[in-house]
Amino acid sequence: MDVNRNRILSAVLVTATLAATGLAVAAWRDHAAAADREHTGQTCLAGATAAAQAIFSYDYRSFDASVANGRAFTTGSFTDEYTETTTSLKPVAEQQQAVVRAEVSAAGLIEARANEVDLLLYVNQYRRNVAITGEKVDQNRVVLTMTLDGGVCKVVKAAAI
Amino acid sequence: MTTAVKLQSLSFKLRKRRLKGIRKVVTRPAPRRPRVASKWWRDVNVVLGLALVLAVVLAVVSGLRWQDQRTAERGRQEALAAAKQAAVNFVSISVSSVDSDMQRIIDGATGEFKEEYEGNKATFRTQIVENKASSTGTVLRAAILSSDSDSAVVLVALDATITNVNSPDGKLSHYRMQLDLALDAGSGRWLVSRLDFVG
Repeated sequence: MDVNRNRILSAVLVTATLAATGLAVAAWRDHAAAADREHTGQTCLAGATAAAQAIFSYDYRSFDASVANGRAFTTGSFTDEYTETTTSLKPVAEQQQAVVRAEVSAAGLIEARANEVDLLLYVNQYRRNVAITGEKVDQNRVVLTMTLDGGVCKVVKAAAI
Repeated sequence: MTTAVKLQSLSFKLRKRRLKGIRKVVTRPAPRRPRVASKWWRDVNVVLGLALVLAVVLAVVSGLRWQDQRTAERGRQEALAAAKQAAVNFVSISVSSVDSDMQRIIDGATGEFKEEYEGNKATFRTQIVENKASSTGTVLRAAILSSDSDSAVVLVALDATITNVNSPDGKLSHYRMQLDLALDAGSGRWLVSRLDFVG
């Protein structure tokens, strides 16, 4: 084979190698990103029950400790929002002698994005206070938005629907 | 011969010799170089060929993994869509189209849920007709609880406005459903095998 034909063959091989490498890198990156999303989704789904139970539970006799426990599962601006809400709730909870215990009946993954996941939770809140005889239960549907913060999934947004 | 002519003749000879020398350099065959160049290019092409094989193998492996992941994701999305539709179908029923509404629910069902619904169909129909009941459902959110290639468990949060003889203006109801779905191999459709209202 003469030099010119070898040169042409080299050009073809280089082009094909670059194209195949490009495809491999693109597929690998897409797969890796999806695997990351899947990992974040499953990690947050596993942690969502404990987070929701902590955030939506409180006891007037140990209100500050309840709030501190809930706050440990929050991050970002939601921490401030949670602090504000619970601060305004404290006098009412103490006056009503309110005890709220949250339990999660079911949790599922709505969507996992690069940095955040949306989860749907069925949360039952068992309420006791001076105005209630016995215990009442609220069956809530809650969307939690969570993100990985230092390897731990924390809540950045919570909304009842 | 005059001196001028001698000098001219000498200059001509010198120029001729110089040209001869140049021609020798230009036209002299270089017997070894093409073979060396050819071997060098052949070696380069062998290396490039190996690199191409490696790149193709990597592309195929990455492509297959990517395709598996896409297939799984497509399955999840299809199961999610089927669950949302089944949940809406289940709570959307009208006295004027009760038979077709119930048939639509049965068409999207399988296994335990299908048997149960078919078994209670006559009772449901009587209740709907007697109460002049109508309801329309709207999905708020749906989420995958678990899934694999041929089954999925999906949560569907939905609201429905129900009208009947007792509530002619309609009453809003909030539902928390959990649906088990199975992929029907024959039709490729996701069918509901179990439907629960989560307490």
